[in-house]
Amino acid sequence: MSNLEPMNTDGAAELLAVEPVVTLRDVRVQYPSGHTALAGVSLTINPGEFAFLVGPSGAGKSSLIGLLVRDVIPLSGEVHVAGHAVHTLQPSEVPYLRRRVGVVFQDFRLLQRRTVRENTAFALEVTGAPREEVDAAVERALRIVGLTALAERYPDALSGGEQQRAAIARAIVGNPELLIADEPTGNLDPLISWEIMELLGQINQLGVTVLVATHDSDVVTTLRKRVIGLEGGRLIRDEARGTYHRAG
Amino acid sequence: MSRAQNGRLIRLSVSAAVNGLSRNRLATVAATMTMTLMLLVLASVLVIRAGLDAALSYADSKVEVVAYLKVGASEERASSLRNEILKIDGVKEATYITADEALAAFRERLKERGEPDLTGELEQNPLPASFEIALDSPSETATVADSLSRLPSAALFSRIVDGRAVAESLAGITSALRIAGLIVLIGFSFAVLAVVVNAIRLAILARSDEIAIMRLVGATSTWVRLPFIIEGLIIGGAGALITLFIFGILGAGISTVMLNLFRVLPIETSGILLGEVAVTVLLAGFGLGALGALLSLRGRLSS
Repeated sequence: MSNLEPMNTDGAAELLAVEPVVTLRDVRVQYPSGHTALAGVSLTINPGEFAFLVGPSGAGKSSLIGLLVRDVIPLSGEVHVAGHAVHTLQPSEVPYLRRRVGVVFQDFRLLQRRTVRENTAFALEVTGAPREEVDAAVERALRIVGLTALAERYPDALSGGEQQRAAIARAIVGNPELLIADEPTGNLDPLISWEIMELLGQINQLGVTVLVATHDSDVVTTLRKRVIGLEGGRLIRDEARGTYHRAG
Repeated sequence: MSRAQNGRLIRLSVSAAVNGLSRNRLATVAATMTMTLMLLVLASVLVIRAGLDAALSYADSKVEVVAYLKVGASEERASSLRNEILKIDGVKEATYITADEALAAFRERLKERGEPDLTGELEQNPLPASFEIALDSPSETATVADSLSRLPSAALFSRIVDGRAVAESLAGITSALRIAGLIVLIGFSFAVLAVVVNAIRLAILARSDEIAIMRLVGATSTWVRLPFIIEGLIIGGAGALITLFIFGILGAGISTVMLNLFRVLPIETSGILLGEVAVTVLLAGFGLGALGALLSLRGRLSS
């Protein structure tokens, strides 16, 4: 499927037949210290979905995100992401998985010595993409996040919200199937947080599957999207139109 | 990877390497200077070794037996003696050196060394005539010397000198110097590796955020590692070029030193394998630079 193009909603039924973007089957993650971060977690995220990942600190959200980009290796179970069997992935294949998954973080992680345009282009350049392809993809990504006018600025000349937009541009420039946002609004004031959530929604509308790990209860409860709840390393709920706090 | 991708990989890696080196100037300069110092030692060892080799091969070629005649032996007797000598197995040539020729050669040597010639004060030539006997093989000196002493006219000889001892002691010195040179070189190589590893590790540390992003967005390990390997190659290459530059300037001086050192022997040192030295220094520079980079990357940039 071509991402970042308006999605044809009439084809939603066809999408259901498409292979899920994320499939976890009975996944267990245990760290060398012996701490079990995830236990018996199974879930599926289909193409085009928008899901929140919620839970208290230490619930296993970061471990789950780490699994999806193969930063974390499961002790048992299966992890499939964007057509890659992550649990059996060879180290040399990891980069090709990561090209299909964009990630943004609370602390933006922009390169301070590069402009917004260079930060965005960097993600494609280091995969060996041709110059023309990089230029076109960067223009499109900057247009989507609304940073075309600020493309030549360095990160320290941008507001927090603008920096997060730049980070999102970098995450989507490679046309990923899955966009993971790990606490994307954690460093932002409420108004800017809403803008970022709106942007993530727009990107989802363009066909990219979006998974947002967040503690922002207002956003989750107001948007009424799918909510995947973790606690103590276990999946405790998976609601199609959930709220931040468990109903009842 | 396609050719175009390779081109982009190399272009971006070189640019990242140059940026990295200029960001850590102090470590870069320290690594390049240590590399230069080590390569200068390497070049010097090569030159000294070449000189010693030349001396050794000269000594080998000169391994011969010299049979000194008693003072006053007539030239006719000498001529028949020469025929007898030539019949000995293992003798290639026997050259008759008259007493006058021996004195002339002695004076020439004094002049070369700049020492005063006092032979003019002598009333008569004290040097004996001699036969310089070249052999088919240096290993035959003992048997030839023995055969000489058993010739019918052996009574004409005042002394028979076996030249092998000189060659053997020179070979001993050469081999000791070779081992000493090798030990110094190995020691310096470890020092150079340590400094290059340190410089590259600083570069990795300085670019840790960039490396993290590269891994996050799916750069392969070649793309992550190549800039650092190029940094090592640049340090090694710069060290080698500086060494060759210094060596080029000092070349004439070194040749003179070598000439003085070995002036007792007619060794030609002016064209002392400069090509071999240049190639070895360049290979050692690039090799140590790349090895240092690979060592500093070990286990640090795995995905």
